[in-house]
Amino acid sequence: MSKKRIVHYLNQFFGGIGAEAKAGIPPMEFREAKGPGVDIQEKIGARGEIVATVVCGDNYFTENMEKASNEVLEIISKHKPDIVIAGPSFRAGRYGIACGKVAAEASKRFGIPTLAAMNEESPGVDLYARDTYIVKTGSSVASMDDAIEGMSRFLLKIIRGEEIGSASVEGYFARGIRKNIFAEERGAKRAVDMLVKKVRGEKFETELKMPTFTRYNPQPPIKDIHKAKLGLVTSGGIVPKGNPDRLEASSATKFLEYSIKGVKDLTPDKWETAHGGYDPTYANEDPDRVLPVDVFRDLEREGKIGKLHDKYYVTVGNGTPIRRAEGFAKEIAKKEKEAGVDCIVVSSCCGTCTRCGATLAKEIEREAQLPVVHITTLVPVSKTVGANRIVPGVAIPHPLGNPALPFEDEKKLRRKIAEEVLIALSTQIEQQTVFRRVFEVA
Amino acid sequence: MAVLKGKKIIVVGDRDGVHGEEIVSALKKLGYDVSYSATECFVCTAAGSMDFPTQQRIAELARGKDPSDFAVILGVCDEEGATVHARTVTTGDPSRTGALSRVQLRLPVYHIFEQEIKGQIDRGVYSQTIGLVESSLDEGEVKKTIDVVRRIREGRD
Repeated sequence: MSKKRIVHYLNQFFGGIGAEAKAGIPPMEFREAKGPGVDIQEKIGARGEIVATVVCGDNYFTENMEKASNEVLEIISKHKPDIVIAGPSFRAGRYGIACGKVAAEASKRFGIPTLAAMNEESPGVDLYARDTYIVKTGSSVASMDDAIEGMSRFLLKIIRGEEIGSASVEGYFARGIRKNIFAEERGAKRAVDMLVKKVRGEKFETELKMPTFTRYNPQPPIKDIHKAKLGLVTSGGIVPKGNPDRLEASSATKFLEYSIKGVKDLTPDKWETAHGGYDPTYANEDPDRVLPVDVFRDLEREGKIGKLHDKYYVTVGNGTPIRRAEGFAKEIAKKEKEAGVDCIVVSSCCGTCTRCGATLAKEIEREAQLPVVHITTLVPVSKTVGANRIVPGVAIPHPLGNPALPFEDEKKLRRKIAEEVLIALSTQIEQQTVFRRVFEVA
Repeated sequence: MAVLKGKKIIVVGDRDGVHGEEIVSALKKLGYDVSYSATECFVCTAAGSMDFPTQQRIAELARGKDPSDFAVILGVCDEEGATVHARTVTTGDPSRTGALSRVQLRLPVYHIFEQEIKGQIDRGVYSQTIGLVESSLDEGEVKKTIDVVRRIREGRD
């Protein structure tokens, strides 16, 4: 058996370049195994060789997925791989999306087996589990040993050409592929057995898994936006300077309510981000880049909206489990409703943050029966989770700004996004809709 | 007092737990000298790994030295984070990426909530800062966090 050629995809951290500050780097290649790849190489021995490692920044990849994945795939194709592997990416949102996309695209374009590894809470699973094998891992590098073991074992199976068993047996995420097998019992008996177990409250394994994300019909639009009271919510962690209530940087256990009464602009001397999932530099320079108070105050003053609600709600969406986000949404919806808010804007930043924000958007919309717009750069994640009205953001660490522009131009850009939000809130939609006008014009 | 007395103390706090500066100020009050202190933040893109510069500084301080001359105090307040930080300074960086990957420093590592450490810090200072964090946490999680640090320190992990 000839030695299999393997190409490994890693993000900028696991490729050894740097953490958040280096998340913008374009793809680069190394003709050797790196980071966890070194251990995977040791485990598979002479049967395969990691001939190259492709490293790319998480923001670079996820802010422009088609372009970045083309660039990564081009580098990968040069090395004529038999197998492409990616990660492990654990619970990391952007990294999980990038690993899933690279593995799925490589499988589609080159017709070769591909393998990623991540945690069930990664949005990469929701987006790509059908298109590539994704081995299950724990949520952080604390479980790196198991992740390396799991990936290597699976990789060896692929190398040896062994048959891959069902998802539950092999420890990967179900791909939604139905395979005919000979079962011991006939279907009717299996169904009744399951039903009996269900009635008794016992554990049973369904043979037909349903997708986990529920969808709700979009709420009707605002009839007269000029009179509407608009509420702001963010999963991007904007809090008063010093983070007085110690909102967690990751896996937040709470959401908080703060007053913006009389506040025309979020200034860096009074406000900051508590979020640990993106480079905080830009949000700390100008927190309006994540929570756009300044432009909505302008719109309020000009009579383009009736009123901006004087309280906003904030959590850190980084690593927040879906169930917890649903709980936050219920309470926020109640508070917004009691305050007479007519429509809501939710802004999000990184991968798991967008997953949390999209959950807030769809659950608040259902619970409060009000139209909600979700602003995020990671539109595919928001769509998968089920936000109904989506407006694309500029970039992960600054969805409502662009630090490269002079301040006046940057504010104009933020204003355009805010105006797009108002259009989204006023438009009748029958299904999920992405309002892209800003970036088509830009 | 043997745990900290005469040791080169390294403090690795955590944004979501006890901050590095809070531990340092409690130690300084009793005259301890801290060789290096950092406050880590769970970074999503790094899946919770210890930051590269922190690993680099610890490597420079402790590589090739006698581990028993050191004491590392952690401030992270969840089991998973404590596992990563404690392993990084004992059996090596689990991410296999930083300056401490595949480096076994075997430094004696403690959690700020452990009796060995708590008992050596001024009670007044403790209750003003660190104790507030401790009392806001779930008791079960605190115990699990302390236990995992102890297991890793004793090589039972």
